[in-house]
Amino acid sequence: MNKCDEFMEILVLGEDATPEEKTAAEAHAAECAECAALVNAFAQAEGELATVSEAPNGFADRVMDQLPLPEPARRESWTPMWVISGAAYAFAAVFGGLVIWLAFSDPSVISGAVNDLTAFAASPGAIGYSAFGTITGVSAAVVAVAGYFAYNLVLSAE
Amino acid sequence: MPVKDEKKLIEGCKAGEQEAWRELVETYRDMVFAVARRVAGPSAEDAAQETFFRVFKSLGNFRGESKFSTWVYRVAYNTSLDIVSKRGIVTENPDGFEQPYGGPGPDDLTISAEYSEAVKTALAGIRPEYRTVLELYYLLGKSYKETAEITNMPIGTVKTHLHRAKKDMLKTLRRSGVAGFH
Ligand SMILES: [Zn+2]
Repeated sequence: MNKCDEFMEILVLGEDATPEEKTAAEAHAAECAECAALVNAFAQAEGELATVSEAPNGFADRVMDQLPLPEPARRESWTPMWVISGAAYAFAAVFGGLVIWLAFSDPSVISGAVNDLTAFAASPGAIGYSAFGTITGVSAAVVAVAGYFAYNLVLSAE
Repeated sequence: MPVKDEKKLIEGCKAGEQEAWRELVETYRDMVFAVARRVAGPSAEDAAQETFFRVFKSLGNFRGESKFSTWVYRVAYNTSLDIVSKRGIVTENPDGFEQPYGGPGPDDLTISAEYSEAVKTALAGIRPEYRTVLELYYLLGKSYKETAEITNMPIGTVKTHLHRAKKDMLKTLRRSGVAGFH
């Protein structure tokens, strides 16, 4: 190994070199154009190796798109509840409106319904055609109210 | 990033919060991509994406024994290695040290386009088994400890690899004439 090689090893790799050896190597590089050029080239390489360039455009978006984050999935699983309670809510509005309209046009409808329910409570096995209609209506109203409460429950859970 | 914010960020990510994940990805994307470039070369995009997917899947296992960034970079390093071995990208240089300098060689497949010709030449002369350690070492701000943690090598091995890689680099630079002489 020639002198230049020895000095370069000390300058670039000299973790174990003594301070005297380092000083001598630096003095040599100040005099020797070849070693000075090599030290510069090495330093330039070190600088480039340490450079962190930016990730390509849109990289973060592409990562986010492929991450199976739970939030959208959770919303999806609630969608059927939304539909059910929404439909029940709409049904309750239509049914309520119908009852009010009937009651105003013929007050005997209300007393008729009360009679039907009383008859059903007394003897559930033997109901007539008009009582069956009343019971179906009341059941639908119960489903509507239950749906409305379920909907509120979902909202408070989110 | 301050440690307190980082803890909060990790908690948010563990809870699956969209905003927390966006912040995590934006904080680490450049370094993760840089590690992927150095190890997986042309497959860097896939390696970097897969890294975040694996971070997502194994974040629950992060117990704070190392710095969070070190943990993320280790995932990036391992993911990149997996992708390289799966795809069989050429990382061995069949001509070894005697490859003509400056010309296109098989190693150009993994030496990123971001380097200047001079650095590419210098890197092409490093034996492949030492080059990755050298690249990671500089990328990580010349930290032996972090390089060792990420590559799962003893610090002594990291130092040996670095010494040999620098020696190869010096030899190549000298012979290539990039330092302005022949
Ligand atoms: Zn010299």
